[in-house]
Amino acid sequence: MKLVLAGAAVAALAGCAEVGTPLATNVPVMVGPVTRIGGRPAPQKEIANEKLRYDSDDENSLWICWASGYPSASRTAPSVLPFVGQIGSANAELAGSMPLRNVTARLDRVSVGSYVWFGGGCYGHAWWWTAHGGAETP
Amino acid sequence: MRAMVICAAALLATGCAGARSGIEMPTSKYPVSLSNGMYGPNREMLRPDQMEKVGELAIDRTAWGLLYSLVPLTPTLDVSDEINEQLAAAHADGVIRFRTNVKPCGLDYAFVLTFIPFWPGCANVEVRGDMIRFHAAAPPPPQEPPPPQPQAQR
Repeated sequence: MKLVLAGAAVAALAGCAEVGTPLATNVPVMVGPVTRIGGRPAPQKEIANEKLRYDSDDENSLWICWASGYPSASRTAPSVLPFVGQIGSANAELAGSMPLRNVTARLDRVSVGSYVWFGGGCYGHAWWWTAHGGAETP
Repeated sequence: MRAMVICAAALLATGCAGARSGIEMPTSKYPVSLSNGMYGPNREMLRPDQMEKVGELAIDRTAWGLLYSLVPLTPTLDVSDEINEQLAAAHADGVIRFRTNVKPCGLDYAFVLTFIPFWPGCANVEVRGDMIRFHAAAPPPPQEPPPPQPQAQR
C-alpha cells in the first residue's frame, strides 16, 4: 500500500502530465481552419498521399510494479521529435515537385487522453497526444 | 491451482479509468500554430521580431470516458469560442506554441471503484499558447529625391 501511495504521489507531483510541448521548429504547423494572419477560414484538403499524412503520437507513462517481489519503476520520456521528423519527411517527399513555401503543415485536431491503471501488481499512469493531419499542397 | 486462483484474483482486481478527446477549433477566426512559426498576411513566414507576445491563451476543460477510457463521452472538445474571445480581448492576431497538458482527475484514483467498468473516468485538459500581435515589417527608408536636372536655356 505504501508503494501505491508513493507511486500516486510521484505521478501527481512530478508534473509528468505535460504531453504537448511546443514543436521545436520555426516552420509553422497550423491547426484549425485559418492558416495565416488575416486569412479566411478554409476547410482542410484531403490528404490522399499516405506519405504526406501525419500520424505521429507521443505516449508517455509511469509504471511502478511490485508483483515480482522486487519493486521497480519505469518511465517513458516525452518527445515531439518524431512528429517534427515526420513533417520533414513529408516536405522531402514534395521537394522537387513544387516550391516548399506552398506547402502547409496542417492539422485538423489534436487528440489527448490519460488513464490510471491499478492491478496485476502494478500502478500505471499514462498520457498521450496524437496529431491528425498532413502536408497540404495547393 | 493455487497460482491460477491468484492470477484470476489479480486480473479481477484490476482497475483502470481515464478519458480521451480530440481538441479542435472548427470556427476559430484566428490562425493557430503548434510551433514557433506563423504565416503572415501574404503567407510569408514571419520573423520573431514581427510577432509580439501579448498574452497567454489559457483554456481548461474536462474530458469524460467510460469502460476504462475506451468509450469517450466527450469525443471532441471544441475550443473555438475561447480562442475567439481571448484573442479579441487581447487584440491579438494569432497563437503560436499551442500546447496541451492532460492529467487524470480525482475520479481515476478511486482504485477500488475503478474495478467497475462503468465507473466514469475523466481527464483535465489544459490548452495553452502564446497570443501574438503581428507587426508589419518596417518600410524601407525613404530615398532622397534625385537632384534637379539643369534646364536647358533657350
